Amino acid sequence: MASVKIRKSSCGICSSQCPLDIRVQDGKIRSVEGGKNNPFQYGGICSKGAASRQYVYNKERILYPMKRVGKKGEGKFERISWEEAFHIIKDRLNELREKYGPESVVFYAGYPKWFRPALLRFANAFGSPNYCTESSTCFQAANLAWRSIYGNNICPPDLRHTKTLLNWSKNLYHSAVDMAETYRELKDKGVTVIAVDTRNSVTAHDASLRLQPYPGTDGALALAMANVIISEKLYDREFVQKYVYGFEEYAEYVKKFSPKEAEQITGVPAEQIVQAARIFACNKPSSILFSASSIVHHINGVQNQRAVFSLLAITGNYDVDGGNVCMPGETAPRNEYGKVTRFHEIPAIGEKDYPVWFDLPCEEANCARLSEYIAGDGPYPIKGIFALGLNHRMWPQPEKLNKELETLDFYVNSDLFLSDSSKAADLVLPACSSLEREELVFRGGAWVELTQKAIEPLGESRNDIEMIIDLMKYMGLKDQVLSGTYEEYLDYILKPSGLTVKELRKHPGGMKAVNVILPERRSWEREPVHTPSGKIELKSLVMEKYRESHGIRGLPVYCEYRDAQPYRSGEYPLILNTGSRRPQWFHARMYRLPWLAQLEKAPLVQIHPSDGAGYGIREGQRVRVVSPAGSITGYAEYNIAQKQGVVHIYHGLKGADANELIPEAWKDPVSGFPGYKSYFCRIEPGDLESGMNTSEREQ
Amino acid sequence: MVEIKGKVIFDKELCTGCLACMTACIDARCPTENAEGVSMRRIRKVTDEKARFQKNICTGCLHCGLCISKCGQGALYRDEETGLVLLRRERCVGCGMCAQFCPEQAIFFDKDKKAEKCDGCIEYQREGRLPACVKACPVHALKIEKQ
Repeated sequence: MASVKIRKSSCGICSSQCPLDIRVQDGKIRSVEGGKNNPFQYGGICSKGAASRQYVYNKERILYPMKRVGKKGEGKFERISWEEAFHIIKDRLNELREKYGPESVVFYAGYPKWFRPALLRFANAFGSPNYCTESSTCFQAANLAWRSIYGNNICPPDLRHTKTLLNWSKNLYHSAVDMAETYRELKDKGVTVIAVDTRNSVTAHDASLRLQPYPGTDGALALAMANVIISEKLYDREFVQKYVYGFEEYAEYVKKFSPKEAEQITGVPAEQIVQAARIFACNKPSSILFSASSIVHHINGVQNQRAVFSLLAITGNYDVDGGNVCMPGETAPRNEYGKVTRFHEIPAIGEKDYPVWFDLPCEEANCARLSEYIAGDGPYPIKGIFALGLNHRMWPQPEKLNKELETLDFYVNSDLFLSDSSKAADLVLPACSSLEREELVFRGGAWVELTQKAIEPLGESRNDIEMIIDLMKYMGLKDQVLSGTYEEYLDYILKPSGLTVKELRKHPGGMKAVNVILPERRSWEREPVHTPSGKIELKSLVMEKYRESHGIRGLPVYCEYRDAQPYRSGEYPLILNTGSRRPQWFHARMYRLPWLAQLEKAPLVQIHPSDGAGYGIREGQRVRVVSPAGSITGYAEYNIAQKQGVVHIYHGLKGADANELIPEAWKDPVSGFPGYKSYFCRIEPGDLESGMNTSEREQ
Repeated sequence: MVEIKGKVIFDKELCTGCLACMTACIDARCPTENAEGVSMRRIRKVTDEKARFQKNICTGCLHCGLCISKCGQGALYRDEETGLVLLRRERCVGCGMCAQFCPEQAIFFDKDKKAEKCDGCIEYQREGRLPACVKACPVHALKIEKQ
């Protein structure tokens, strides 16, 4: 036996890209530990990353290119060569372009995210405006909310200098454990942490002050805090006068949301709202920690998120030390990420439905209504999808979407696993995991890593970007950056940093960039804000443009979702919240790991004990959850840390996917984001027979 | 490299129930193809009614040694070098006395009904490494008490 070698890699299971030390012997992974390549890394790991071996060597891995031989969706495939796969892709995509135009092909990025700019270049070279990603239901709505106010990309909190941290619904102990140590240390440093979370989560529990609103009422809560801050004259008058647009109208609007009024809406005691507002406005600098989608997965999501982000503007906590800052620390300059423009000579899907998305551009088409666009309800026919890591379970009514995918003339998915999304494809391509390739990772403190290939790619699986480069050459598509090798592409990305692949290979675990951008604050003093008014916009002029046509308001208005008929009528008296993180799951992909699957019964239907008593459901019992859109059966868990009247279920489990309970039309009109975290349901004891029907038989 | 050898200590207040130690334990012990992947740690729910709070914690062997005296076969003993409580599997008759008295319920039984327990990743420790669970824990709820 050869000796054990440690390879410096990084995890690709979620988006945190935590550094990993992989112990390899005889070409096989022996064990996996968290890496600590610089003092800022925590060195630990999460439950998902620790199960990497079963992720990489999973029996569902796709090992060879395969073409469909059975009926669509049947899952019968035949092994083919990469050459033949490229040949089929070339023929079919060119055929669609000729027949229906390049826009009929969607270029779709699922997880992970590292290959995105290369896929965008592929779409551009093909001539399709329809490059879209799963950020159409994840990160982009929060980013859009931010951009509508501050004109730039979302700014993180400056944790090093903040005195008050308002953690708005980020359960980081379960979703981003790489931040756990830093978060805990805030308390020791005397930082006041205010947590807003519909559950008294482990993360919220660690805060000095906890606000526990009903799901979907974040906007009302934030507006009430603004009400207190303005009426008590605690706002930063000088900053507002000089740099903020729309303050008067905003101040007038927030008058409607007195703490008493907001208590009625949110369930948060008025005195707590007052206290939080005073601390946030007075114990400065203050900053806001946010999650990608906990606020925006509501039908008033973007506006709620804007109400939250507006608090920074009125208190003068934007781009100052300890506030939310454009650049938290030293940064390595780089090419590519965020710098590739989407081809837009042809209108993209989603443009008519969600114009704000395109006016505050994120260089992605909006695929929130993909299922309906494929069904013919789009601006033009959608006939083909070239996807990397497409997962239909990211979307509401996933089974319906998968059926729509089967109707496409041509659908190819590159993936790690032969998931149901892949089974709907005509062609599947084997992707390799992050442990089987070299990859650039840019970290805080201008730290750059070129991860080591821990093991050779399994079977004939390939690095997605290398595959795109070769496929584009095969198809004769030109791109100035992707015309060389993978290594040349990495060198292009690295160029501004002063590093090279060659140099980084000598430094496993990474090194600091040669060229470093030093953080600067108070950008608003140096340059106008990139909004139509040139100021920070509490009333968004971009959004206000669509008041007539789309009913979108420039102010961060609050709309009450509980006025909807299913709830009002009493037929579905509980609020349904799907997708709040469980530590061991990540969307649909981790259920296939037996090490993790054994940890708890799935799906857990978390209810308050008093609802359990009220509806006759014991802890651990099978429970049927019924919404106007569907029903699933899971296992009841009592949770006293959540609110009475709210049901929490994690999504993505085949046969009992909580996303089946959310109707397609339950969407935020601004972003198209599904209202995953505030829909309606009822619960009933799950009789075993019907439980079998909806869940187990399909597995 | 400095040798780190000692018992595992656990602060349940600090534990966030992230389950990293649960899985890291499996990774340290089990071959990939072992579907069941038995962890020597356990998930336990703790509640604080007054604070309307509950969380999972992951408990494991604290090497207190209570089990040693309960075993009539001398299968359990304390390793002098590290202070860890270890098991001589061949002596175990599967009577279950040790498990009955274990305050952490940290003794398991394999398919042959023989006891299994945490060995503090003694092999890791001999290489100067931390036990898998301690290394994994993102909030330092698990530590090594140095001998």
